[in-house]
Amino acid sequence: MAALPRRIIKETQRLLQEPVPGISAVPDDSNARYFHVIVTGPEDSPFEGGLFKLELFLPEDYPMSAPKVRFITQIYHPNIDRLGRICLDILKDKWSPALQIRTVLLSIQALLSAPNPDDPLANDVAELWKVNEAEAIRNAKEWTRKYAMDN
Amino acid sequence: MGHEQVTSKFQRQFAPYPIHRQLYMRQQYEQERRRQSLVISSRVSGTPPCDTYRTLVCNQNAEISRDKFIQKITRFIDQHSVKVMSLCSDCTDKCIICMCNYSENEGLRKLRCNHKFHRKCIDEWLLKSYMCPVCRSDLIGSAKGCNDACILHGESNWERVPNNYDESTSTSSVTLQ
Repeated sequence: MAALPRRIIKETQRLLQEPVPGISAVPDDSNARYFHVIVTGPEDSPFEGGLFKLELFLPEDYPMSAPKVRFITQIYHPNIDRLGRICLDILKDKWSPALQIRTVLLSIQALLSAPNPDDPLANDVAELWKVNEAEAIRNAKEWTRKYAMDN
Repeated sequence: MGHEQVTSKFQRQFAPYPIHRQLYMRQQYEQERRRQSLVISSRVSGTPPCDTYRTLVCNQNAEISRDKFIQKITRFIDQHSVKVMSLCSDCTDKCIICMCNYSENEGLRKLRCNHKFHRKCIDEWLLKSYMCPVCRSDLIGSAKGCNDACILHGESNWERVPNNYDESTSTSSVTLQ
């Protein structure tokens, strides 16, 4: 593999030296483009108290294309599907090289605070979120307890 | 074939050309792909491709539109090539794409919205998108741009450079940071 671009080195250093509150991103020992990420569930959201594991990979042409990010921890959210794939515009057509790993992870954390059932990835979850929000939030809390709290 | 594969294939194929030529060729390439997929889908459904005539006219006018497109691109991109001549001592600004500070004699490019980047960095992005990475204004579309303050202090330290300006031939060495 080609030498690591300076930008990735700088971003990694800053992530380790000045971590974003509530977010930890650590590069893998054997692959500096692969990050082990933990995001805490935001306060006043059904995900509060949970620790959500994600994986983040910087593709070969990063920052010209977006990082690939996926939830590893199961999560009940209208914009995140069973495989952990995330429906977020900045990870797709709204990507810009001015964005960084830290801004991407902050956006993902914000998505947990503000689910958007009108642009769903997990259709059943989004449907329930629209017709019976209280029950959907109960489910989200239940999944958070079940999958994001015991480790 | 995924979009990324197309882009990288495109970059390999057309990399030796200047940026406006590359952008033009990419546009042609995408147009041709769209046309082909139209033809294919019309074959499957049995209905004739509705815009065959338009495509023909398009081809007739290709020369004209090619010139227009290059003119447009040239106006908005190449005239905005700049080179840092000297930086004031408190100038700590950096290229947001590679996160490295600007240094003297580096080739930069200023977009219509006044945002500046290393030439190499922004050219790579322009092959993927016509959007300014900072303010998301459309580079070649409508004339609206944002009026953010310039990244570097003032314009007096800038010099226009010709399109074929090549950093490797510049006399002083380029060191990042």
